Amino acid sequence: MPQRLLSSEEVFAWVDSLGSDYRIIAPVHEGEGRFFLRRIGDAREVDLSVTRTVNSLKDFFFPPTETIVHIRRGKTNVQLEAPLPERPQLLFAVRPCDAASLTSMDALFLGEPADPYYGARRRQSILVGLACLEVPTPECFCTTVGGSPIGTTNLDLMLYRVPEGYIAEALSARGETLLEAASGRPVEPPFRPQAPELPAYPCPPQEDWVRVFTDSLWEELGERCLGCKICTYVCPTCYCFDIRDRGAGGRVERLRCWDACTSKHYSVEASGHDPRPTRGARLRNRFCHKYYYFPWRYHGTLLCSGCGRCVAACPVNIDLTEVLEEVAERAQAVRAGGQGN
Amino acid sequence: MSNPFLPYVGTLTEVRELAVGIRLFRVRLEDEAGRAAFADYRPGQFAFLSAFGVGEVPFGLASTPARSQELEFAVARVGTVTSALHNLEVGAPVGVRGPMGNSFPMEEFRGRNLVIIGGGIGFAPLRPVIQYALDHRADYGHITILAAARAPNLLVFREEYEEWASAPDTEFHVTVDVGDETWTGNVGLVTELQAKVSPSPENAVAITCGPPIMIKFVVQLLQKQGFVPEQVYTTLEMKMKCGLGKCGRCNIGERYVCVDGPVFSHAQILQFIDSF
Repeated sequence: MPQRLLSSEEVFAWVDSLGSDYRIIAPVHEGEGRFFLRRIGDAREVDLSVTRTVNSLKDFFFPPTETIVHIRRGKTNVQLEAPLPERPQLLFAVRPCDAASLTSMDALFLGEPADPYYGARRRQSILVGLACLEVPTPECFCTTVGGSPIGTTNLDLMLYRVPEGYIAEALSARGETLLEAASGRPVEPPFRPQAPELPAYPCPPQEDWVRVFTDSLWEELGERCLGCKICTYVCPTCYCFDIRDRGAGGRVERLRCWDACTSKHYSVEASGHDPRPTRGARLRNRFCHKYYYFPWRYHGTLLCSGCGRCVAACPVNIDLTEVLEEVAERAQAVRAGGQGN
Repeated sequence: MSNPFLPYVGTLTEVRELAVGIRLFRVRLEDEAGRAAFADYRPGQFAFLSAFGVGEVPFGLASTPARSQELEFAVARVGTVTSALHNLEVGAPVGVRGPMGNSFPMEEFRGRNLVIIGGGIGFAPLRPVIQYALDHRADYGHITILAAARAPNLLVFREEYEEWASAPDTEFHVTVDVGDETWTGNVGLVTELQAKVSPSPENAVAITCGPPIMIKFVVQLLQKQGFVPEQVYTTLEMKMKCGLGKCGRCNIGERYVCVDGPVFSHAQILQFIDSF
């Protein structure tokens, strides 16, 4: 697909020119080395020195809170209306791991019965990637889960940072059209990116998670876990949600809000019965969901993009890459010991 | 595909006390799409009932489309939404999403004897099994029904006992953990009644629903009575929000109760990696 070399100034001018057709979401530096994906009004707000943003692009496909039904009720009648998002959005300078995370989210939300809210946003979104030609953070492990620092999955365009500026490569027909609006000059011969090396962690198969299901590992981790749920909020693929009504009188809204399976209140029933009563049991559910339950249901698709946000955010250093190593090691011990756990 | 989060609008046409803290709600669906969706729901399926402005909760459908044009739900007042539902009166609008989940394999059960054991409000999802079997009486062998509750005023669908007891080739038994001054029937746990009735496993399937602890002991006793896990069916419940296999909540290991269940054979349950 075509490539163009743009200076930084040309990149920003291009972003501004797209702003009339799209709501632009891009990385913004908010101090102390923390970057967030935010809706921007002007390309000057964009900071392309971005490492990993604190939030993932999940926020813009599956927002923390959204109204799924407007309810207007009278004493004997009610009117319901589902507000579907209509504004096209362009996500600019997203990392390959975040773009790849949409593959898991698509499997879930676009699978039957399809989720109309996610579907509307997904259809109206353009994704412009920023390749990781250098490993952005020590927590990155996308290659462990099948990704690549220069992976182009789900992207319409990719940007490569080079000494002269940025090389923009179109990856889809939509991307090609957008690139026509950019200035700069064609790149000949085409730029061939080199992926940097990342540490390789084990990615235990389903059988290994079964082998360690009753291992003490989970309660050991549970003793450290604060139940703060930050891992689920920053995760691009944690999607568990709650549905509840808000408002009083004749106009109320049915909301869908992020929830977390690591929350104490997540699965406790009205009777008081809780099928996952300990932090260890809840953590096990989260990890197993990502590497065992979700791939079991969706043809091997993992529910993890290796972005490393949970590793960076956890206040007690529960490190998913260490969990992967522990699971692989303890499963190996079970196999060697022949105790069919 | 229509929006699976958008409820069909219904109207409460009847609210009736079934037992202490348990009411039967009859719901008439107001639009054609809703009536079409619920035209042929099956015993064991469930639906979400909305108290608009408060929320929605899933309930096993307590009716069959053959017996009732309207949907029936047995609702125990236990939480915020169920309390709001209990405060509604006839004529109030409610929302219904469904029907959802799998169902009891009534076709596979053809030609076999049915042993139906339900406790408390757990009897509600078994009522459509009984209604379906009695409406297709020739398709099934002997039917044994055991109903139980902690106390007489917690028994549901008592006014239908007569119909069930007098149906051809059908035996009906009921017990309560603790009786009262009006109670002259069996007193004791459902397992004591089950031991006394001693249902034969021969060419039979057992279907049970009730509190988890009851299911556990009923299934244990069924095994002692010679039922193999493939002959025992139950319907499970977990906290749910969407009913569509999306919200992530009702999983037992890799299975979702909402889309892979709620009906499971005991043989399937033995394969579950996690407890519930």
